[in-house]
Amino acid sequence: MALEDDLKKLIIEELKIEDIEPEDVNYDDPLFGEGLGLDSLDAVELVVILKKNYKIDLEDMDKAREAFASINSLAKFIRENSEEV
Amino acid sequence: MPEAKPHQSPKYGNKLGHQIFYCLLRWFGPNPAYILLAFVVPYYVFFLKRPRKLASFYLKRRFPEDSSLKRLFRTYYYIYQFGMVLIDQAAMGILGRKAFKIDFPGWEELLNLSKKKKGMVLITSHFGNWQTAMAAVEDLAAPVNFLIHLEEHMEGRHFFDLAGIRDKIKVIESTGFMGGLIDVIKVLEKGECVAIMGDRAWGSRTQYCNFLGKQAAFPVSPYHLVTASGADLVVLLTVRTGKLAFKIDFFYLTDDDTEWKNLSAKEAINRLLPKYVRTLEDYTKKHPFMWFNIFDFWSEHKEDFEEEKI
Repeated sequence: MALEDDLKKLIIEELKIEDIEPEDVNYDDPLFGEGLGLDSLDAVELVVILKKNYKIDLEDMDKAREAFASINSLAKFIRENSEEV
Repeated sequence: MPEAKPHQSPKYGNKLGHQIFYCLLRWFGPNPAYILLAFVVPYYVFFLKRPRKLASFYLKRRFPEDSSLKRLFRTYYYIYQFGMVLIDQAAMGILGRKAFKIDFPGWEELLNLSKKKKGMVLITSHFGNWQTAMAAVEDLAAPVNFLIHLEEHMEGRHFFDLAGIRDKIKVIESTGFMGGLIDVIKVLEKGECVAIMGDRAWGSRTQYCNFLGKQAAFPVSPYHLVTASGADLVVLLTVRTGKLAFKIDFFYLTDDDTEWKNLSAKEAINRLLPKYVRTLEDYTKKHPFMWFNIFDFWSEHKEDFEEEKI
């Protein structure tokens, strides 16, 4: 689960989420709304994180919708689309 | 997290009233429509409380020293100006862009910026005929997208449909996935332009900034988009200057050598938002009866907004 744990840390650090530690986040918790409580501007930052760290361009909105569901789905998406992992 | 209240744009007139104005415009041009408007406006100003109240939020801030009587006359003039802008908007759809005189002093500079293809966020505001201004940017070197909730902008939809420019100006619905912002990033990265309202914050993150003497909440998404994409940021403000005539002023906010992609969103907001707000404030001083953000923009009811959390 190394990638999943990296993602938790990355999201919390880069999006400056306060009062939440990586271990507080479950792999299947929703990233947006309830769960981590991210919003649309966080999604913008998340797109930048994916590009900067994993060289992924989000072209397909349906895939983005699936990928942004949870840490697990995001990790799956990265494994399928990045040559960096 | 409190749920943001959906904004209801005020509706003016009924279907029959609109049709009368459309027919006048189509058959006789704008002058009879302006004249009829002068007789319609007193009804709104003197017999209906709501338009007076909605107008007063801004007029009290802009003209704090006014007596009640003076404010009433200013309200008449303000709503008459607004009516003329709505007539011009319909005229753009009915008579076409060629019927208009458009003064756009910064056009060449804006065109050159669009040729760089690094993406451009165009902040528009509720100034003058801002929808009509969209017709003037369709000739930029890069495609123009408009992030908007069309259903809430009935007049905007009317304009886009009638003018037949929706092929040239693409609409990104703010009700789409992640508020349309991921689509926005995609088009900015392709070097396209995206127009976003800078002075309406319903349902989005905001930051407070002093505007006309009191803190008001402004949306922060344009500044996030600049750091996320490295796009240029410009402000376009429009005023009506006469019969079927308007002027567009252009202000280049990211005009230094800063690599905006290397900055955090918070830094970009702290540097760019005050520049936008000062530009807007200076414009209200120059053109006091042209800012049509007709609601309590200075509301302290925090539940109206999802506050900036950076």
